[in-house]
Amino acid sequence: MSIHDRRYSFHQGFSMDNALDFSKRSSFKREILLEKFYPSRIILPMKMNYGEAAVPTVRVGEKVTIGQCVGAPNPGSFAVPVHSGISGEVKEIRNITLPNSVTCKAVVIESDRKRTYHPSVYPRADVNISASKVRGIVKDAGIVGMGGEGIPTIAKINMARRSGVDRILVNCLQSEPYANCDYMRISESPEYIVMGAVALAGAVGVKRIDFLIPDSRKEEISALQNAMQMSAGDYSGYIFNFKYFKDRFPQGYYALVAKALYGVDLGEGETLESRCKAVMFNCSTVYSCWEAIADNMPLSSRIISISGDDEPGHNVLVPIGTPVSEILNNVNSNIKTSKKLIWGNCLTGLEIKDPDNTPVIKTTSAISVISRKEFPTTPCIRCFQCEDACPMGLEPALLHNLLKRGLEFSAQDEGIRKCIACGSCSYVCPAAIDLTGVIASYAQKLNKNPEHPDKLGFTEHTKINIGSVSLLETFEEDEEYQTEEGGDDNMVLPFEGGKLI
Amino acid sequence: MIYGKFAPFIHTDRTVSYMELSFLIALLPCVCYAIFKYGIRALMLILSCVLMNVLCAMLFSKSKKIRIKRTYLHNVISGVLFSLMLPPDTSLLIPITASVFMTFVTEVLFGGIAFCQVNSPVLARILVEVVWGERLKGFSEGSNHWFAIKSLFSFARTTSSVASRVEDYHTAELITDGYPSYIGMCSVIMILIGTIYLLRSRTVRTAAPICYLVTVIIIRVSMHIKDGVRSNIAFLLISGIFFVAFFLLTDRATVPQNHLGGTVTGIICGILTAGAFEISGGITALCVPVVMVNIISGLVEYFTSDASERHAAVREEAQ
Amino acid sequence: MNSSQIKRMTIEAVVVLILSFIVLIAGNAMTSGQSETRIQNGYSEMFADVLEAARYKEIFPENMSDFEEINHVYQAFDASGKPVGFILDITVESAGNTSLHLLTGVTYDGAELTGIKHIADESVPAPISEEEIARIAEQASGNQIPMSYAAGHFSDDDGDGSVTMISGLNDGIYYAQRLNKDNNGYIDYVQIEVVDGFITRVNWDAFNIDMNTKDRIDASLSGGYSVSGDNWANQSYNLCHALIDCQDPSRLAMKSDGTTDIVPGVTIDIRTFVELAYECIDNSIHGYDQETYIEDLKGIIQGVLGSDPETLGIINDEGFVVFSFEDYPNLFAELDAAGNVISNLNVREKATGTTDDSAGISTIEVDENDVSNDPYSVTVIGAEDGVSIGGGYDMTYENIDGLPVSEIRTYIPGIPGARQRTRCVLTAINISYRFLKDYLDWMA
Repeated sequence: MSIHDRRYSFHQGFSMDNALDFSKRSSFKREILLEKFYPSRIILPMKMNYGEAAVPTVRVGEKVTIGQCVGAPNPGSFAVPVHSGISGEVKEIRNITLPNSVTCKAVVIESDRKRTYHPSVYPRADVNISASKVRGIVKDAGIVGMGGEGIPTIAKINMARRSGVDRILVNCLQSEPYANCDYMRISESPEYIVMGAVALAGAVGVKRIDFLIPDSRKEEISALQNAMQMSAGDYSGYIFNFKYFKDRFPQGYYALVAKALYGVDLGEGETLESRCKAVMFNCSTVYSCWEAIADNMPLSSRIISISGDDEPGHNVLVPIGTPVSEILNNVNSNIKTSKKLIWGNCLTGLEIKDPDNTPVIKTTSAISVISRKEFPTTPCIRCFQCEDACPMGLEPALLHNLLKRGLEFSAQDEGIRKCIACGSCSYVCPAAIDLTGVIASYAQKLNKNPEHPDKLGFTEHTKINIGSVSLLETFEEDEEYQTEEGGDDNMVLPFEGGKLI
Repeated sequence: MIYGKFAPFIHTDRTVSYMELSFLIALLPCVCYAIFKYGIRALMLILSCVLMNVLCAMLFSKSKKIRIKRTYLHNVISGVLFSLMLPPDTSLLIPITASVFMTFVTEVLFGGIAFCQVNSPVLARILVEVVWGERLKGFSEGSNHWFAIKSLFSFARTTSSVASRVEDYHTAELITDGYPSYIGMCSVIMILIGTIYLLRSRTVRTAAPICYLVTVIIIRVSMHIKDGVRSNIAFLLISGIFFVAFFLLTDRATVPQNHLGGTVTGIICGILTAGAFEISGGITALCVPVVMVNIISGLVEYFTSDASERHAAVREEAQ
Repeated sequence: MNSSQIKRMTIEAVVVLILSFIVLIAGNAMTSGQSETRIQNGYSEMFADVLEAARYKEIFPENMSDFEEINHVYQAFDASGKPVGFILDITVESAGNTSLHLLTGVTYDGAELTGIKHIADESVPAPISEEEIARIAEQASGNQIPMSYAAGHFSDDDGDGSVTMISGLNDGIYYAQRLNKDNNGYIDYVQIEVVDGFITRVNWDAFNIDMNTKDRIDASLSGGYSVSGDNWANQSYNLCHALIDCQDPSRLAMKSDGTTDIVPGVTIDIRTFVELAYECIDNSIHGYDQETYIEDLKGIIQGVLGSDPETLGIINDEGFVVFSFEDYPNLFAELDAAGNVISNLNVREKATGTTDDSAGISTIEVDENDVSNDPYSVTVIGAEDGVSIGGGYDMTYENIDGLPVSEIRTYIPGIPGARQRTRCVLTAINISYRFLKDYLDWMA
C-alpha cells in the first residue's frame, strides 16, 4: 500500500490506546509454520452451520473415504452437507453437545491410516464452468462462512444475487488475539483465494472484487498481488481492489465493515447486501470454494490456530471433526492441562469442558490456551473505557448498571439489542466487571425471534440413502440443481439480527 | 450460535491497580522534587499523609465491615496528592487531621471510600486552608535545609513566605528548579515528566486538563498582557495550574470522562480558576474551582453524553 | 496484577525516579549561576548593614544544634574569596511572649562585632523598638565581643528613671597599684577602663614580688592561693563586675571590717580593691592614665634606687613595676611644716606634686528617657555621695549569658534605663560569641 491509500476503521476519532489492536500481541513467533495433522478419529457433528442439521448418510461399521459425504441436508431443509476428512470406519453415530450448546447427531469415524480419497476427489480438468455450476459446487461442498458466522455460502450467494450487489468483499480481517489462520491460508495459497474470489464473483454475477486487509499485513498483501498477476490470464473482466484497514478488533464483523467502508450504521434487519450492495466472504471460505471447484474437494479440513497467552502459536491443518484433545496432544507444544481451553478465540470463544469429545468444526478458527488468571473485580471507576471500546457505540457501563437495577426497558432504549457480544468491553474494563456476560446474554434473549423458537434445533432423521458418493458428484450430473426454490428463501438467520435469506 | 458462557477469557493488564499504580508513579517526580528541594520535612509530610490516609481507610473499612477486597493505593494517592499541596513548613498535625477528614468526612459524605464524587485531597486542602490558613504560609526559612525538621513539630503561626520575589528568579530557574511554594506543585518540569508517564500509561483522558490549561492561559494572558511576557510566563510556571490540570482534573471519579464532558469541565474550571486568581491567588484559587466542577460533574456528564439525547428522543416519542 | 506487571512497573518507577533526579540535578546545575546570583543579591540586601562582603555562604556547623537560638549561620567572603566574617541569624526569646530576631555580624576571628540588624516579624512582637536597636548597634558595632551592659543595675521600673555615673571621668584606661606588698608578697593593682564617662571594665589582680610566682588570679585558679569562700579569682571578677554595674565604689557598701554583704559570692576583704578603685577613679578624673602612672612610678623608683627599673629587672611581662616600697616608709608621706605625717600621697600626687583637696567624688543622674539628648553630656544633678546610697548593688548573676565575667571584652552603655531590652540584644551578641568560640575551636 502507499501512504496515499486510505486506512479504514470502524473506530472513528482519536484513540490514544488501541487496546484492541492485537496484531502486535500475537503469540506467533514465525507465521509461516503450518503443521498438518492426521487424527486417529474424527467426530463429525451434523450441524456446523446456521440452519438445520444434516442427516447422517452412513451407518455404523460403514467404510468411508476422504471427501465422502457422511451427512446430507434433509430435502427442503436449511442445512449443509458434511464430508469426512479421513478414511476409515464409522464407529458410532451418537448425540453430541458442542460448547455452543448445540446438540446434534455426530458421526464418529476411526481412521484406517490409509488416507484413501473418495474417487470423486480429483482435479477438475476444465475450470471454465458456469455460474450456476459454481453455485451448485459451493452448495454441495458443504461450504459455510468459515470466519465464525457459519452461514451457508450458497445462501449468501443467492441473497447477494437477489439484492443486486455490485461487488464482493473478501474478508481478510482477522483481528482476534492469538489467531492468524486466515493469514496462514493467504500465505499458503494466495492463488486459490484469488481464483475462488473470481469464481464467487462469477457466481454472484459481479465483476468487482475488493480485498479487505489490514495495512500491517504486508506479506499477505504482496502474496495476493503476486497471485493476481500470476493468474491474470485465467479470467478477464474482473477488477481487483485492496481496501486497507486499521488493526482493531472486531473489524471483520459485517456491520463494522459497513461502518468503516461505507460509513453506514446498519440498522435492525439491514445487511451489507441490502444497504451497501456488497457481499462479503471470509478468505478461508473463498479458498474452500476454489478447492471444491478446482480439486473437487469438499470442505473437510481447515487450518486452525492453536495459541494462547504464553503458548507458542501453531497453525495446524486438521480434518474437520478432529477432537481438540488429539490436536493438543500432537502439536509441537507442551500444553498444560491446568490451562483454560477455548473453542474459538479468547474474546468471543467458548470454554471447552470436554476436549476429548469436542471436535473442530467448520467455523472453528482457533483453539486458545489461556492461563487461568483471576482479575479482582472492583466497583466501576467510571473510566468510560468500555464506551470507547464498544464497536457498536453502546455504553456498556450504563447498560450493565441498568440491567443490574432491573431497568430492562431503559436498557432497551439505550440500544442493548445492538450488542454483538464481541467481549471488548469486558476485555478493557479496568475493574474487571463482567459487562459482556450481563449485556450480551440479555441482548441474545431479546434477539431470539419468538416466531421461530428453535431454528437451531436438531431435526430427527435416521438416514438418507444416497449411497457412497460425494455430493459434488451428484451435482455434476444435475446441472440445474435446485437452489432457488422460492419456498425456502424466506428463512431467518437468528444471529444476523433477523437477516433474511 | 448460542453462547454458553460468555467470553472474554482474557483481560487487559490495565486494571484499576495498574491505573492507580501508574498514577502513583506519575506523582514520583513531584515527590522527588519535594524531597530534593525541601529535604526530610517534605518526606516526613508525604509519609505521614500517606500512612494516616491508609490507616484511616483501614479503620473505616473495619468499622463499617466493608468486605471489598481492595488495595489501599487510592488512599496512598490521596495522601500524596494532599501532601504535595502543602507548604514545606507545615506542622505534622495538619496532615494527620486532614487525613481523618479525608476519610471520615469527605469520602463518606460524598460517596464512599475510593469512589468519592469530590476530589477528597482537594477538599481537605481547602479545609485546612480555611481553618489554619495562618499556619500554612509555608516557606518561612530564607533558604532550604535538608535536615531541618523543626517546623514539623511547631504549630505556630508563620508569616508569609520569605522566599525571594518571583521577579528575582531567572525564568530558567523557575522552569528547572521551581519556586519555593507548595512542595510538589510548582516545578513544571517535574509535573511534565509525571504527565508524560501518565499519558504513556494511557490511563487518563486529556480533554479536561488541556481545555483547563488553555482556558486559564488565554484568560490570564488577555487580562495581564500589559504585565509583560515574563510575568505571564512566571505565572504559568509557578501558579500550580499544571499540577491541577494533570493530577486533579484527570481523576476519573470526579471529572466527566467523555470527551465533550471533559472539555466542558476543563473550560468551566479554567474560567473559575482564572477568575479566582484575580481575586486571591494561592491554593484557594486552585482548589475551589476543582471542587466546584466536581460537584457539577454529574450534570455535565449527563448533558454531554449520548444518553441525554437518547432520553430526549424517547420522551419525544412518548409524547 | 501479576508478577511480571509488578516487575515492569517497578522498573518503570525506578526509571522515572532516576530520570527525575537527573533532571533535578541537571536543572540545578544549569541554573546554579542564576540562583547563586539571586541568592547573593538577597544576602547582600539582607546582610549589608551587618557585615559588608562580596559573597555570603550559608554554613551548617555541627555545633549549631547546641545553640537553639541560632537559626542560620553564614560565612562572608571578600572579593578575593578570603573569609571575612560570620553572620548569625539568632532568635532570642524574651519575656512577655516576645522574641527578638537579630542578625549579628562578627569578624572572622570571632573577636569583633561588625553590626547587628533586627529582622521584623509581624506575627511575633519584638521586645525592643527599631530605634533602640539602632542605638545599641551604634554603640556595639566595631567593639570586641562578648559584651555587657555597663550601667548600674537598674530594673526598668526603677522609679526615678535615671542612672548613676561618676561625674568628670575621662575616657581611657586607668591604673593603680599598692605600694607595699602584702604578707604573701603580692602587690595588688586595679585597672579600670572608662568609656563615655562610664566605667566599662574593671580588673583587680596582684603580681608577686617574686616574679616567678604566678599572678594571684592564676594562682588561685591553680590552687596556689586560697581564701575562704569562692576562689579569689571568681571573687575578684564578681567584685569588678559589681563595680561596673554600680559605677561607684561607695555603693559597694563596704563594712568597717573590709567586707561587703551585697555582692554575692564575695567574702574577702575588699578594702584594697576599694582604695585602688578610688585611686583609679581619681586618676581618671585627672586624666592620669595607666601609661603615665607606670612611667611616673618608674621615675620614682629611679629616684630612690638611682638606677633604671628596667635595668634592675623589676618590670614584669605585663609591663608592671614589681617593687614594694616598704623599706621607704616616708617616701609617699605628706609632711606638714613640722615634719609630721599628715597623709600619704599616691603615685600621681607624688609624681605631679599636686594634692587634691576634694573630699570625694560626685555622681550624676542621667535621665534614661531623654534619648534625644546625648546621654553622656554630663549634667550634675546629684550631690556628693560618700557612702552607700539607696538600692546599692544587687548582684543577680555570676556570669553573663553563660560567660564568665572575666571574658567580657566590652561594656556598652546600652539604652539607659532599658536594661532588659538592651540585655536582649546583648544576649544575641553573646550567643554569637559563644557559638563562634565553640565553632572556631572546633574548626581548629
